[in-house]
Amino acid sequence: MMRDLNTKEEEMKEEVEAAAKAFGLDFFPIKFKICDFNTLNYIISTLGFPHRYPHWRFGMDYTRMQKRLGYGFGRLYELVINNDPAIAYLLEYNNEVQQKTVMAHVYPHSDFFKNNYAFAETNRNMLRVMADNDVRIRYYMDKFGEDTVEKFIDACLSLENLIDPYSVRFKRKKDDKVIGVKEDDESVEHPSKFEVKPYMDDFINTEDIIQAQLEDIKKEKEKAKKDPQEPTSDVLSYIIEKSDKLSVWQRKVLSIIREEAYYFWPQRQTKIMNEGWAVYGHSELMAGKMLATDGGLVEYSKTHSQGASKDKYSINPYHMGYHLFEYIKECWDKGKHGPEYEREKDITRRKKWDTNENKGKEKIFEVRSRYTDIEFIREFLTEEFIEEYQYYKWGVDQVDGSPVIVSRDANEIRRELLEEYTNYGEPTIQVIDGNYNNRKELFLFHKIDFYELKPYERDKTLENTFKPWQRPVHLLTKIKDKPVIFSHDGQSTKRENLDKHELYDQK
Amino acid sequence: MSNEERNKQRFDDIIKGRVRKELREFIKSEGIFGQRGRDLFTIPIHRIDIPKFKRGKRTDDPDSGDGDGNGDGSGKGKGKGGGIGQGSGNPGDKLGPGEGEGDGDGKDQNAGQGTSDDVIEIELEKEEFAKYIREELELPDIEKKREAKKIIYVDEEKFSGLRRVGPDALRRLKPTFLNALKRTLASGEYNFDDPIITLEHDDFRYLSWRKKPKPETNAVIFYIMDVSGSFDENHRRIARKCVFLTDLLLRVEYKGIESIFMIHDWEAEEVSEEDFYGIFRWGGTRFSSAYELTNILIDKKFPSDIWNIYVMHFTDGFNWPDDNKKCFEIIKEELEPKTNKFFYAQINYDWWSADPYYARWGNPGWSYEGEFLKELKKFAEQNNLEDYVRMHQLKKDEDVYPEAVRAFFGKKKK
Repeated sequence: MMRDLNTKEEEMKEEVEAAAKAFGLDFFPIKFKICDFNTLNYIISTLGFPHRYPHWRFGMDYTRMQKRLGYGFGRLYELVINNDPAIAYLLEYNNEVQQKTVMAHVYPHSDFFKNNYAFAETNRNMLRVMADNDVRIRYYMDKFGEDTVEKFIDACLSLENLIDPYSVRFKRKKDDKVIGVKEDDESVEHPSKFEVKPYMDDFINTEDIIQAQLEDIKKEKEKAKKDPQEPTSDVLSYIIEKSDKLSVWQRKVLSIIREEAYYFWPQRQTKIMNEGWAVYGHSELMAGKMLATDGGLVEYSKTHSQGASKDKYSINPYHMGYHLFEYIKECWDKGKHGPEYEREKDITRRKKWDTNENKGKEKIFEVRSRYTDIEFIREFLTEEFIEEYQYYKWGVDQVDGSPVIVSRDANEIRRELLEEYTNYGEPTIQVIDGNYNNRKELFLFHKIDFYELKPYERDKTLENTFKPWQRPVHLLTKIKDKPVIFSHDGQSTKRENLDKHELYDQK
Repeated sequence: MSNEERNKQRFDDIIKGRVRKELREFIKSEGIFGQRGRDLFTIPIHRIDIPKFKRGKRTDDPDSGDGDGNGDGSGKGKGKGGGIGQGSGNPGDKLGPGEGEGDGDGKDQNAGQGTSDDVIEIELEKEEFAKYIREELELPDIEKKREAKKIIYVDEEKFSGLRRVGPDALRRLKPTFLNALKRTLASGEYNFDDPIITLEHDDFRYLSWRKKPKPETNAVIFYIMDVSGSFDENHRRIARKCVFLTDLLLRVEYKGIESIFMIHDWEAEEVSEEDFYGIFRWGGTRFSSAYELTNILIDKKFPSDIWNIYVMHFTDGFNWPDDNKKCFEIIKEELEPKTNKFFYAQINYDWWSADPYYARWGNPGWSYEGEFLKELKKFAEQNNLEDYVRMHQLKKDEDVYPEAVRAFFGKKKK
């Protein structure tokens, strides 16, 4: 069941919207939908899109959600999608204060989607695109068989995270597609010389310079023959463009998966900030503007604390983001930043520091549009903050294997977090060669970054890579600091241990 | 069908496919045998999720490496073996359990179990589970020899008639109103110009239902256990598994199947289920004592014309040699006409193939078939009782499923 707002809720919406505008938020128009529990769970499982292509995975998420939250009445759900207009879903049975809080939470989210730079290239018409994809994939299922299509989607989803988050910013030049230098192009074989008087020629255009240039030209030529010329992290698009075994529908399915992966990626890039901003926004809107008349303070505090509480074993993005925004505002209100403040070592004076700068609000609005999580953490997760909010690093006890606090050192905590957020927790896999062994086999390279690959998933994913590529695939990774090549040829996976590999030697 | 329903349906189908595929694994694991006396099994399913390249262990972790390719020690949260958390306490302090924390242990290398996030628990009805086994092993339908006459009462789902009490949901307005109207008319209070009727407590009528007797097929199974000294813990564990699966398979056909437990050495006696697995004795062994007692019980309590009767005998096959002839006599003359099937499970625990510790040296040529099994085979062949007498020799836990089940419930050998 899904319905539009009734008159009373419409009034609430207008009230919240006015407050959001007064606060300075800049958002897409928002359409609220009220759903019952089951419908909302379904929509959560498809990440907010009521019309999404059919796939069992959504059924699984739905089942999980039903089990986990089945009895959780009074819990808050809110879901808003990055779209213009934004669609937000509310739960039917929430009381008025809860509903208002959730609405107040939705506005800053939409503001974040609209203004944060990571979202600049996302498709704002995704609701429609997803619905189109749904129709298309169901058409394929009718035509080629439900099982065939779904199995292929399974394989494609395996590669979902192998995209290059930065590539959306590149505008591809038209002639990029013409691969480098032609074989019979004579001109490049001659090294360029500095134009000097002939008697200086021997001194300026020396033999080694000429040699070095010739060397470069040779490399350039070799590179031109290689495909891809530079290692690419966008494995999905490489397969879409270069695989010669894909049929039209398979190519389209792959493109759909890739498109959706790019669409959702910025939300992973900005989890802490996005949620933090929303909590900050709703607390600002609720506490500042509306609760004085409602008298629902207790209800509100309860609702609020549900979302923003501490977690022993992991970071609660709501909690961390919210307090970081608060902290930034305080620092910039009081001028607690810059070299002068950094130089001050006396604790009491640091605490009392106040230059009446009052630029806090300006600063947080700037931060919400110009940062993603990793920059956010690197810059604002200061020693002071870590101490105040009691963050620690934990590990496993050597003796009995129980979890134990390892350290409270700010640098260590920050480093751990940054490592975790590098490439947003995904391993970096690149296509090095699309013509490996000169037989058009695919060669993937795991750029090692503190972490090895999970063995079970690694093998299964390699098998799934074979399905769209349809020729043997290879993966170079490291196990126990030794390079290993895994090769899958559609039947079995072979493992080849190496002592060293040139790709790991170049730094 | 909407996408929503379809997705759920597909997921359920996949789960069922997985259960079917991994049936052998489930039955091998001890967990399932612990779940007795319930209509539902809870079955953990691993790794239904779509595989992706994921970060595993840190490269500087001394435990890093491949393991056996299946066990990976890392996952989310606790399973990762480290991370950033929040709260009070000094370095070195233990962290208690977190709220809603999964119990995946990062060090659990060989168990092949991921963190709680990888595991989905699904519930499966016993009946369905039995169905999968039947399909997997291509077992024929269980033949019912006799039509049962014993009556089991079941609730009929149809409503019949009305009554004065009941839940509001079943209140019928029309009869209620008619009753009130009648009462008002009878008492003369009814005013034709102002027809107002006030309902009273007695006017209300509710739907009622009644229990309808429904005949149900009857069955009883006699489990006989040889408790002589040579029959130790390992033998009993295998027996327990056999009992579990037999019960499962028969219960689909006979809803109200009864189980009789019996132990014997020289003499036989009827015992409770606990004692069945618990009693150890030393002494000579006479199978015929148990068969005789079974026969007596059948005559006394379970007349064979209204009961489907099964007999299952667990033993190591060491019988008093002079007793064999008497056993066959009872089977042929008494049991065969009265019972549906006779299962003979001879358990000879083979250390060399069952226990990895002994397996290192290999079996030193030890094999034992047992006189009784040999003679029973001969006897069955001679008397054309091969379909009736089902026998199997079990040497290790893995033999229970599928070999033993197939031998007992499978098609008759040609």
